[in-house]
Amino acid sequence: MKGRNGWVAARGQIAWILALLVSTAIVVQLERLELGSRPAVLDTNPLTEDGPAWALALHEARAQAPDPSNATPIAQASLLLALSLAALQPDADTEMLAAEAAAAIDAFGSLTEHDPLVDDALALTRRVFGLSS
Amino acid sequence: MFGAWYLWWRWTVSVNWDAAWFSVPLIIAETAAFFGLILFTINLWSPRSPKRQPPPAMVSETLADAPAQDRPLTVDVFFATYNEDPELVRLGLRDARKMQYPHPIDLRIHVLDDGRRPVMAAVAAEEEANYITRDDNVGYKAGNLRNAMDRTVGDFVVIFDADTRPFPDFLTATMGYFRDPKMAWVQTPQWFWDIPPGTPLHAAWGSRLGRFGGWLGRRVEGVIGPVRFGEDPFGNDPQIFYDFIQHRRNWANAAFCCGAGSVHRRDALMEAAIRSWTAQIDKISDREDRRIARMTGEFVLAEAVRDTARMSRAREIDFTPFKLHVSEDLYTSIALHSDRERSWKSVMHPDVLSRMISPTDLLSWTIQRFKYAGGTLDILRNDNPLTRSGLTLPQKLMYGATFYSYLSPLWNIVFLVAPIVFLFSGVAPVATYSLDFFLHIVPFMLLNELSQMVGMWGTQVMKGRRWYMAMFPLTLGALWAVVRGRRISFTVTPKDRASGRYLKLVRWQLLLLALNVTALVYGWGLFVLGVAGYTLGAMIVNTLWSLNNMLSLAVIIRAAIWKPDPEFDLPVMEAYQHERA
Repeated sequence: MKGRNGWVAARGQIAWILALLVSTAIVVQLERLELGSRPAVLDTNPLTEDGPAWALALHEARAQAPDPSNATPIAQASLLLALSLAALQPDADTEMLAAEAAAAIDAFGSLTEHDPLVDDALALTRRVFGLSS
Repeated sequence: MFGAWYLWWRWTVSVNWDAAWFSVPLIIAETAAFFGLILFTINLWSPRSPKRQPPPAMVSETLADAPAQDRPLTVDVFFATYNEDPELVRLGLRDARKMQYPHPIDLRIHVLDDGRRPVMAAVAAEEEANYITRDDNVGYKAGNLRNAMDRTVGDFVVIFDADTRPFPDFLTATMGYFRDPKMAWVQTPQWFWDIPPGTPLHAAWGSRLGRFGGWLGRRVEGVIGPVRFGEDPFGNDPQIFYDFIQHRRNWANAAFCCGAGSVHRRDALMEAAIRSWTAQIDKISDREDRRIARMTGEFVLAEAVRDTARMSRAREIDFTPFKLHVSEDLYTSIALHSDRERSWKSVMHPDVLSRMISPTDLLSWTIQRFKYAGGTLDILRNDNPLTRSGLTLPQKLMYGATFYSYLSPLWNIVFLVAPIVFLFSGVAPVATYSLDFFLHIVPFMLLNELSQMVGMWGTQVMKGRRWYMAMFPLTLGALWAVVRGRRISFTVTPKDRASGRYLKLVRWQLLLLALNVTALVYGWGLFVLGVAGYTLGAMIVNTLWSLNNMLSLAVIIRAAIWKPDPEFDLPVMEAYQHERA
């Protein structure tokens, strides 16, 4: 069997292999995009048993304060402390966490009613992220 | 290994038990198909074959013990015919007379006419061939061959069909194998020289789109190689079967006889027939002895009584060198391979040494394939070679692969229906079509495809696979007939093309094709609407699966409506008629 004839005979199989590879690549890409859309700190699912405690704490704090400005002082303090704790992790996405912390500080600091627990948490968070008061 | 890993994962992790009615048949089908793949892989494992030897000059060179008086070989050439055109047989007779041999040889050519036709007798006389016929058609082709064996004495027997055209080197290339005194038969590849070549792409497009179409077709062919529309519309090219499946059974001594284009040692056929005949007599007589003992209480029958009973059994049981069966070639091969006392051998010769005519309409094709499937399954049901003593383990595996392949419609039907079920119901047979699923199945499918491509390099494996899927109703029908105990009749495969459309023969394939199209439209509609269960991963998998199934079904539907191209196909298909004229 001459080389060219062999390739000609194998065209159907080559097309099939290519279809298999392309469809798999599409599915893998879709899965990757789905993973990429999650916050970096949640790459490890905090709700699983083997997830780190800090990630679970941040996830819970976010869940308890879906609208941080109207959350209870305890929920506000929890979110600030969880963000600070997450920022201290070696593999943390500090930029994203700093942006979230700055937004929280702005929101909580401008509130008319001050709570000592929230104030202490704000001070700690500013120190961790190096933000001025 | 990757296949086993995938199946292990399927059974232990990914079966959707919430839809067991769907997922369990599919996983069983996958497992059954994988077992067939293992047998097929074992079949293809080694191309090791006996060495070719120079053709023997004297009969002593083909025997273990030298005869008292040595002499040149005597070879009988049989052309078995029933209702084929005598002029077609004439062409074969002429070619047989032109067969060469480097030593003196006594070559005797015979026409075995089961049609008892004077015109055939006249053609035989004109071509200086011996004409043999009989009063009945008992045993069909096997009976015809038995009748000829009774009337001839050659050391070797060459079997040709009515349409076989041997090449001059047929005997020179095959007789050398018989230097091994245990070699019982040599099978040669059957090559159909009238397979429609189809219309070249540039000609097909040129006729529809003018000069631009012709130019475009040539450019496309320049990139991907020659493309021919309607090439081999009935999937008759037997290259995979002879070059790979049969040839790679040589290492296991399990290449079986395929009827035409084979050379047989007469002694092997006759000895095996005698053994088979006496074994049948013994079996029946022993059964009768036990029955008589139960009825009379006499456990030791008088010798005279036993002998009389055995004599009457001997008169009742047919003595035949070829099993009187619709698949007499396969059955006789099994009988010879089972003879452990003589350890008969067979070989599949790799080169084409004759040419034949293929079925060129779907009706003829269906008749032929039903005969093959029904005959093989009938042997499995009534005389299972896997439980038969005498065959070696490799031989049992090889014959097992043949029989197992005819059970394939049982799982192929599941593969054909599965994507339709998903697309209509949204119920997945696997727990999830996630990345995990792809990571398990893709390495297996990829490596399997690559290994088959390398292992059978130069053949259109995909085409063979499509026909294997597409012919599921035919094989299923044969299986059902055999299970019900219906006799598979021997119908001569027509050699003349019947014109017409045979859509009725492909009604099940048409139904499945229509269901696939409807299911795809329905499934993607529900996916767009965001209906639960229709995930993107599942849609991609099932769409590809469905498209692949449709391509498989399309080959036989196209064959049902195929018409030969008058410019490119007909000259090839009718070449023998021109030659005759």
